[in-house]
Amino acid sequence: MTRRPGNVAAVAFVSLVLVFLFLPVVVVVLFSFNDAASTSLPIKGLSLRWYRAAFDNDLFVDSLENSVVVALSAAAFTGTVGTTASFALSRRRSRLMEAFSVFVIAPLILPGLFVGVALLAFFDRVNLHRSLLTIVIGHALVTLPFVVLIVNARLARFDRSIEDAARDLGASPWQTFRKVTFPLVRPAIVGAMLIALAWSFDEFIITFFTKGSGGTLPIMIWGMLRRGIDPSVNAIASIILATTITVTALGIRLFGVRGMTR
Amino acid sequence: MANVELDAAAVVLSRRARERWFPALQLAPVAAFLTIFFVIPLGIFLVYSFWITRRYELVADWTVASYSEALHEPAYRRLLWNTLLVAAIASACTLAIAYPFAYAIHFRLRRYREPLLFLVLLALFSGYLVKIYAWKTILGNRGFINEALLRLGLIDDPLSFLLYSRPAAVVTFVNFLVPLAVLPIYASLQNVADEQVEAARDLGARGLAAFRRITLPLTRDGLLVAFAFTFIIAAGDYVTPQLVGGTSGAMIGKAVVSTFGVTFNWPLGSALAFLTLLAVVLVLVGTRKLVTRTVR
Repeated sequence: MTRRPGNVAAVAFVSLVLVFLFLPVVVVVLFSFNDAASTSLPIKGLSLRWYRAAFDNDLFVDSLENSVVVALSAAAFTGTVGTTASFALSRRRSRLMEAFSVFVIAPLILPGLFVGVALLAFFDRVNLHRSLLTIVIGHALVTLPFVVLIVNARLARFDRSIEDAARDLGASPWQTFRKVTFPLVRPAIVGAMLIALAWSFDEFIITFFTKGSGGTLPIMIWGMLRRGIDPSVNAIASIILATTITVTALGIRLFGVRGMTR
Repeated sequence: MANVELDAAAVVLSRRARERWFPALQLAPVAAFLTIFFVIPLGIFLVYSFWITRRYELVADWTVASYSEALHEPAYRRLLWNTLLVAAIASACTLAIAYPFAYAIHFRLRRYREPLLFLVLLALFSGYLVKIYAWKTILGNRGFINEALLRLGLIDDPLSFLLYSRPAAVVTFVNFLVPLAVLPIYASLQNVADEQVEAARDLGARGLAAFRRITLPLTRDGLLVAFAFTFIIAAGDYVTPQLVGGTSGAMIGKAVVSTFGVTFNWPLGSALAFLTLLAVVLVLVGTRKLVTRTVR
């Protein structure tokens, strides 16, 4: 099986694609530790000077704080309402429920530009002052689909007879939920919330339109790119990458690779 | 006796009521949230495309003037055409990589399926703006491709066409769209049973014929979903064209953003956006028709 020549080609092709996919990540992280200010090889020496420069920058500290607050709020909100909806969506299969699922996923399928500009027009019309709250609203729209999809997939694989057994043994519906259903589904819920958190931490397109005076880290990077070369942008980008990759990896471990590929 | 029966009836009734109303109650928060912050904003956005601006003020004068401006102004027509072209090239290249990639993982590297899909998911969630910015540094005049070529003495001047060009936009799109395309294709490959392919081979179909008659039709819908996802995202993107696209890679998203942020001609911006959406939907419907007719 492994000795077939086709497998060598498969390994080579898959490796090549993976190198291509992660090349930007590697480049950014590599240059974030570069002692010199240029973004060219070879690396002159390793240093943490760009990280130090980032943390000395008040805008970075504020943006980091905003990013954390926004991501936690968006994940908490979508985790709560998204999970609640998933329980109803998975319990009964009907046309209406399927239509509702499409409705929930729509904000993620539509280009972010549409969602962002529509929200900008809406906030302007209803005179809602743009702030971190409006950023959270935009992030909640696009992270809700992840929570609903992941928790739905988990509930679809859930063995309902366990609930029946609990009821037969005298548990009330609330006790059944609290002691049987919820503990079994919890890893998927937490995993989904971590995915929402990672997505929010990295989100740029919608944030660009919904932000008030305070921005998030990707907004800060955007501003730096427009002002010209500042090598600490690599350090800030690496901090975003390290956060989203770690949080995503934790999330996927919790709900399993199969929770998203099936 | 009658009381007992009545109680039983009441219990059944209340349970039925609960079964009916409880799911509605569970869906209510999401439904309300999406209605207020998604449906209504999109409605306002659409309505604006039929209004006009006078002295930077929106006026509710119902007209299709913005649509006719968007359609008749040559600059916007060129931009719309370029948007569809770049998005189509980017999606086609993405699928050309994502399909064999998913195929290899599913059929050839069975033992490593889970870790490989894990990496694909990580790539999907690892930075959007950061990746685009990274390509700017990779492809730039002082980026490391040019620096390496200069150092090796292969070129005398940096290759400036590497950045700010259509190919640069396509490479960047493909880079962040491949993970997204792999997922639906991989899911559809799970429909293909080994026995079916074996049976086709036993009946005399050679490798390519077996693929064409069995695997491809079974994965057609996954491919169409992947194409839709990637095409929509590429056509609606404004960051990639702005950071790496240059003039030949210019797309409509940038024009929409500038009507909202610079010129404050919101009706024109929303008309451009909805025209693009309409064009994208037409392309997707057309592709679907064509593919379902030819691949079966």
